[in-house]
Amino acid sequence: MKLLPRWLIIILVAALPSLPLEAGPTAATRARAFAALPDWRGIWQNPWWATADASGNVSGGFSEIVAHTKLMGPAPYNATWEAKRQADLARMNAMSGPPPEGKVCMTSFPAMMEGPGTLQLVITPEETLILADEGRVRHIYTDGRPHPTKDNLWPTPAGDSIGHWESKTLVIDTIAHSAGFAGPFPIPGTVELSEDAHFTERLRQVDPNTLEDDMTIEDPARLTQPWHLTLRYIRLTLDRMIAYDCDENDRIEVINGRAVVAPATPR
Amino acid sequence: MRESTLGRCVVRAGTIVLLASLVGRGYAHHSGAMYDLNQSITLSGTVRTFQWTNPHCWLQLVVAGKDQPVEWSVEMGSPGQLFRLGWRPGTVKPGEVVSVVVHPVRNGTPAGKYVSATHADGTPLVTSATAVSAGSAP
Repeated sequence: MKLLPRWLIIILVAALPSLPLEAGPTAATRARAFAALPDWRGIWQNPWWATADASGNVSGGFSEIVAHTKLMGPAPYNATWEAKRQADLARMNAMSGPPPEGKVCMTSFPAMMEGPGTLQLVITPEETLILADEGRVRHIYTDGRPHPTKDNLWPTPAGDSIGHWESKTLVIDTIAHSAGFAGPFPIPGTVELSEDAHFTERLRQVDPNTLEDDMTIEDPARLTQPWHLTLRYIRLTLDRMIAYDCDENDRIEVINGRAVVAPATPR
Repeated sequence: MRESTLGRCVVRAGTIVLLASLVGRGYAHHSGAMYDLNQSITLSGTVRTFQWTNPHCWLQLVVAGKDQPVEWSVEMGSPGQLFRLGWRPGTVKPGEVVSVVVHPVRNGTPAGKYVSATHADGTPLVTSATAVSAGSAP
């Protein structure tokens, strides 16, 4: 076998360190994968909450929020949980005197997908991040990994999410979600899910400024059948995510079930 | 200074009042039951400070009282909500004279929930021309 001339070998070896690693086939494949993904840049929000006025209230008031927030229910509860729901509602209606007051702050999954906050989606071939303005983040791994094994998995507010792309639709599978209220407001009588709930979402763009999330929730311990919901988001004309923070200057104090306004402190 | 009662809201069914009382950004952070939504009053005074903060912005307004000036705390939405409506941290400046309509708190302390506001000449503090609309691509 004829060897390459010594001078050519020397040149090739000397040139090796300067070859750009990112020009390799892996990077090219990744770039093609990235280019095939949808462009969902921008800031998104549930359309009902986008109607908030300068006082923070939304069009129609709180009763309208409850009516339009699908995760608040009703859900196809089994007999045991429907009985609990009815008991909770009866107990609430039987209360006399001014109702107790309280505060709500961060929302977990799935509530963050239908809460008052704004969302941003960061899409890469390996992972999609859903960032909430209050700081909560959903990591949706799309690199082909399975969920962790049982020994390596425990319930968390965001759950464990993996996903894959079917054309321009992101299909998300979420398990290991902390048990609790499904909707953004922990109101007795609204839907509560177990930590065995299984969420399947199909997230897609339905027009230039609207995303739609078809969510199916299976929770055999509480639901008689899969619960289907369709959540929508409109793109806002914001050029940045504006952070929300519960603690920066929280001047509402709840004392013995009554909320009061604390005096302003120098800032 | 309470100048006028501007309006009354429709009384809600008991269950809805209860639900509303349990939650609260506007509704999302805390209860709304502390405010008397059936009563609206107009406060005319001088801005001491405008707190552009989370979870709520607060307008601190000094108004004439019976014996001495009284500082009112006016609760508004979050910076994110106000920004989209055209508000900015410098929209209201200390020393400015404004009129603000609020739903006062029930316990009689000088605090209320924002309804609307105007400059001394009656023009609104924020016009829709500066607001950010929803539903169009960036």
